Amino acid sequence: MKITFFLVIVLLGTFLLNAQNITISGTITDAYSGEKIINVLVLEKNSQRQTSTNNFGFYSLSVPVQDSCVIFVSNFGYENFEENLIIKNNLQKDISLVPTTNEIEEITISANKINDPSTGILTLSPKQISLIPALGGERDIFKSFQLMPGVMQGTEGKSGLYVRGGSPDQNLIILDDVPLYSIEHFNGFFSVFNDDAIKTAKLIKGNFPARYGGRLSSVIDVRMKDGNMKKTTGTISTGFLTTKICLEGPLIKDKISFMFSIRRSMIDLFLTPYYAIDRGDYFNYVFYDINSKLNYKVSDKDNIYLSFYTGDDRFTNSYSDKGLYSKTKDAFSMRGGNSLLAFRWNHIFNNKLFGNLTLNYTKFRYFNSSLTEDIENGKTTYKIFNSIESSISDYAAKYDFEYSIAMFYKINFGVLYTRHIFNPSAIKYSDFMIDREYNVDTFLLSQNFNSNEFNTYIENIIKISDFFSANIGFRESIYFIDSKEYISHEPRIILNFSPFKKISFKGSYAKTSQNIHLMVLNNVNFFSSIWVPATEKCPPEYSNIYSLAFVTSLFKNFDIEIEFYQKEMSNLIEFAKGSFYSNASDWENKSEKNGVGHSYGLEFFINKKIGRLTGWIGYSYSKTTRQFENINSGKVYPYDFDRPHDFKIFVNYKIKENLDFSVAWYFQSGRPINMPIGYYYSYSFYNFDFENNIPIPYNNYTELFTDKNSFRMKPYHRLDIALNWTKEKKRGFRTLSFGIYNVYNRLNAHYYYFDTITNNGIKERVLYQYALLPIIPSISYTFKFK
Amino acid sequence: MKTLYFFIIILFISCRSIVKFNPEEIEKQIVVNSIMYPDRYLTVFLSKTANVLEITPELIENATVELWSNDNFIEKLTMDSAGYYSTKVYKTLPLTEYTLKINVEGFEEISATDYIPAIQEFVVTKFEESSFSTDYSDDFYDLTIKLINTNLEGLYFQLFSPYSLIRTSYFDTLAVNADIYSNDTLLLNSYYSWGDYIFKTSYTLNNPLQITLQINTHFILDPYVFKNYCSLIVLNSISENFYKYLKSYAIWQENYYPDDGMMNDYYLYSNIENGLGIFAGCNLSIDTLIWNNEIVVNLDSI
Repeated sequence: MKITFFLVIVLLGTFLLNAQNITISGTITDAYSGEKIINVLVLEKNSQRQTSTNNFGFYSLSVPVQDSCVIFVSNFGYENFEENLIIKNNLQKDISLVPTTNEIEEITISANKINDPSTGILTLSPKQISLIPALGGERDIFKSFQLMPGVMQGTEGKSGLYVRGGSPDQNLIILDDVPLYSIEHFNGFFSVFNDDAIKTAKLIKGNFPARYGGRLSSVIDVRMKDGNMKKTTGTISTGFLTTKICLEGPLIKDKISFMFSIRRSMIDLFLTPYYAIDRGDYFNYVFYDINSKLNYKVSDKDNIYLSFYTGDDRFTNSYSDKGLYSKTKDAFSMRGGNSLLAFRWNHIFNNKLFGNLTLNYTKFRYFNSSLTEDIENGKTTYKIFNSIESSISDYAAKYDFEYSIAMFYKINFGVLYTRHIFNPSAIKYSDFMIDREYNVDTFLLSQNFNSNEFNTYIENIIKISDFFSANIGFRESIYFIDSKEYISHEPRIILNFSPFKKISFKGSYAKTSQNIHLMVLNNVNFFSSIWVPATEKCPPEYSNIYSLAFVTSLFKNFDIEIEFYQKEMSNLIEFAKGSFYSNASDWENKSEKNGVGHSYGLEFFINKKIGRLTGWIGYSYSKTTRQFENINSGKVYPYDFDRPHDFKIFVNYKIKENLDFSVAWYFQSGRPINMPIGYYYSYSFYNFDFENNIPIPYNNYTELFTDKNSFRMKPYHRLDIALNWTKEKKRGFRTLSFGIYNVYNRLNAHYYYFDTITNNGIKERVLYQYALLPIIPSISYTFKFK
Repeated sequence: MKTLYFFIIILFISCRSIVKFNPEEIEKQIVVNSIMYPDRYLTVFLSKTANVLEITPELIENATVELWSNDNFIEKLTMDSAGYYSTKVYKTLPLTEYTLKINVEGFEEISATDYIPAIQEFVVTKFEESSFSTDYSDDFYDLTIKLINTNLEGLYFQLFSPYSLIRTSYFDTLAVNADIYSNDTLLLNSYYSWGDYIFKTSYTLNNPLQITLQINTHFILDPYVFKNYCSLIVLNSISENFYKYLKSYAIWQENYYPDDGMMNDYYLYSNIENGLGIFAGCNLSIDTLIWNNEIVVNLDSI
C-alpha cells in the first residue's frame, strides 16, 4: 500500500516536472551487426546531463529546454559519436556506433565510475575475457571474475564464486533475466557460459539495486548476443577441451535475427578409446551447451526476444564380463544440467517510459543411476536398477519499467511472480529376475515442495549534479510455502558524492533475503548439490550489506578504487557434511539452523586502461566467520573459504597489432580446515552375536579436534600466461591462442589426509597433500568469419 | 596421438606429497569403552588417546579397574589381554547403579556411573503383506510391535533392523521403512534404511509405544534362501547415557569422511569423568519372526 501511494505521488509529480525539460530517447546499436549495446554512456554536452543504456540498449535523457544540444556517445570498442541536434520537442534518436579497428586499446573492466553511484560492479565483455589466461585455453566468465578483489575461488580450478564471504548459493546468476541454478560443467572446472554466445557479463559484488533480489551476496547478470541484424556471420573455435560453433545473422534483414551457439567437450574423444583399449570398459563423459536466441524487431517501439539455453553433463561408465552364452553388465550413468526458455517483450510506451515483460521457465535437474544385468542366450535373466533424481524448476513472470521523470530523476519499478517446484530427491529401485513371481518396481521416496514468491520493487535514481547522485530503492518480497508466509522489507540505498571532478565517495546499504537453500552432498559425483525451499523449520536467510568506497582517476591512465564492506547474514543453514550421502531425505532435521555470518573487508583496485600495457592489481584483506549454536560449541569460527589475503595481478601487453601477451598471478591465504590433533578408540558394533544375544563390539577410530577450522592450508598461488596471435585471412580472422596454466607448477593443496607409510621398516603416520592441477599447457584455434 | 593423450592424462594426474606437519601435542587421556548387559560378566576396554601422527592408540595394561555399586566395592577386574579387563565372579544386574573406578599411573582417577535399564518386552501385533507394497510392489511386509509392560524406567531405545538368518556365514539386516509412534506422536521415521534406530519416548498404559516397520522382503525372496527362514527383531532398552552416545555416534558417522581429508569436527558424547569413552547399560528384548512358506517362494526348487 505504501509503495502504491509512493508511486502515485511520483507519477503526479511527473506532470509538473515534464514541462521543464525535453527528452531525447532511443536505442544504441552496433553499426555492423545491429546488436544493441548495453551500458553505453550518453552525454548531452551543453547541459552535461548524462545517462546510460539499459540492458536492451535503450536510453532516455532529459535535458533543459534549449535551441540545440550536442549528443556525445562513448563506449569501449567503438568510435565516439557526436552530433549537434536542433530540438524543440521530445526526440527519438537511434544511434549506431562504429566499432574501432583498434579493438583492444582499452581492455579494462568497467568498474566504479566517478559519476556512477554504484559500487562493486564489474562488467566484462567476451573481448576482455578472451585476453585472460584460462585453464586448458577454455575462456570462462566466472574464472575471469575470480581475478577481481573480493571474489574468491573455492577449490582449485573450480568456477564457483565466493563473493565477499558469501557462499556460491548466495549468488544470483541470471542469463537473459532468468535464474540458472547450476553453473557447473565437469564438476565445476568450467562454467556453463559459452563466451561465444555472450554479449556481456556483469558482477555486482554487494549492494545490488532493488531490481535484483532473492540472494544474499551477489548478482551475476549475463546477457546473450541478440544476433546480427545485418549479415550472417560466425565463429568456430577448438581446443583440447571443447569445440565451439556460433552462428548469427538476419532471417529478415534489420527485422528478425537469430543466434545459435553450441559448445561440446572433446574429452571423450580421447578418454573413450583409451578406456576401451586399455581396460575394455565403455567410458564416456561429455558436456555441452546450446544457446539460441531469436530477436524480432516488431516496430520502432516493440522488440521481442526468445532465448533458449540447455546444457548437460553426461557420464556413463559400463563394463561387462562375457561368457560363451552369458554376459554380465554393470553400468553407472549420470546426467545433469539446466534448461531455460525466456520470452521477453520490450515496449517503448513513450520517450520516457520503457517496459520489459519477461515470461520464463528454468529448470535444473540431476539424475544418476546404476544398473546390473545378467543376460543369457540374449535374454535378460536378472536386472537390478536404482536411481536418484533431483530437480528444481521455476515458472516466472515479471514486468520491469524504467521511467525518466525529469532531468535529475528517473525511476525503475516492477513486479515479479515466481513459482518454485522442488523435487529434492526421488529414489527409484527396481529388481527383476526371470521366472520370479515377485519382481520389484518401486519408488522408494519422492518428495515435492511448491513455493510461491511475489516481489515488487522501486528504484529512485536521482542525479542532482555531478556532485551528488543516488539510487534509493525498496524491494518487498513475500514468500509462501505450505501455510507459512514470510515478508521481507528490503531497503536499498546507494549514494555518490563527487566533491571534485576526478574524485568520488560512495556509500551504500542493502538488505536482501533468500528463500532457497543449497545442500551439498558427497563430493564423489558431479552435481553434488540439491536445492531445497525455505520452510518453517529452515526459514529464509537474510543479509545486511554496507559499503564505503573511494574512487579516483587523478593519475593519468589509472583508476584507483578503495572500498570497505561489511556484511551481516542471519538464519544461515549449515548441512552436515555427509548427511546426504545418497539422498536428501529428512533434510530439514539434518541441518544446523539460525546461523549467523559476519564478513568485512577492505579492497584495493588499481586499473590501467589505456596503452600497450594494460591491466590491474587487486588486493583485499577480509575476514568472514560463521556461528551456529551446535557447531564449535557455539563459538564463532572462520568460514570454510575465509582467505584473509587475496592478491591478484593481470597484465596484458600488446606486442603488435595482432599479437598480445597476458599474465595473471593469483595469491590467496590458505583456506581453513578441520585438522584432527589426535584420535582414540570409540565403541561401536558391527554385527550381532546370536549365541550370546549381544551386539559384537567394534573399536573404531574417532578423531579429536581443537576449534573448528583452526588449521589453515598452505597459501594458494599460481601464474598463468597466454599468447593470442590473430591473422586476417581471406574469409575472416583466425586466432591461435597458446596458454600455460600454473607456469611454475605450484602444487596447491586440494585436500589433506593422513596415511601410514613404512620407512626403513618403521611405520609412520604422515600427512599427505593432494594437489589437483599441475602445469598444463594448452592451444586453441578460433576462426571468426568476416 | 600420444601427445594428445599426454595432455589429457596430465589433467587428471594426482599430485601427492607429504606435508611437514607438527601438530600440537595433545594431553593424553584415558579412553574407557564398556557396555553392561544383564546377567553377564562386565568387560572393559581401556586405551589412551593418540597423537594424530601416532600409528595406533596405546592399550593400557597396568590399570587398576574396580566395579562398585552404591559405594560398595564389588570386584576388581582382571586383565584378559592388553587393554581388556573383565569381572570373573560378578554378573551385572538390571536396575542397579554401577560405578567403574580406574586408576592408571600418571593420570587422575577415572570414573563413570550408569545402570542397566529394565527389559522392555514386546509382542508382534501385526505381520502381514503391506498395503504399501500393494500400491507399488509386492515386496514389503508390515510389522507392528507393541510393548507388553508399562515399566516407566525404560525411556530410551535402540531398535535394530531385523536381522535375517539367511546365510550361514553371516547375517544380513533387512532394509525397512520405519515409523515409530508413541501417543500417536511420530518419534522417528526412516526410509529404506539398515542399521539401528535410536529414539526416546515416554509412554502410558493406554498409549504404549508402537513401532511399525515396512520390511523390504526382497532379499528373503531370493531363491537361494534356506527353508525355515526367520528374522530377529531386537529392541534394546538403553540408559540415557548410552542413548546420548549412540545419537552422537550416528551424527559422527554422517560427518565422517576419511578420504576427504577435510573431516568435520564432531565430538562423541562421553560420560567418563577425567577421560573419554562410554560406560553404559542396556537390556535387549528379542523375538523371532518365522516367515511363512507363502512368502518364501521357490524353496522347493533349491
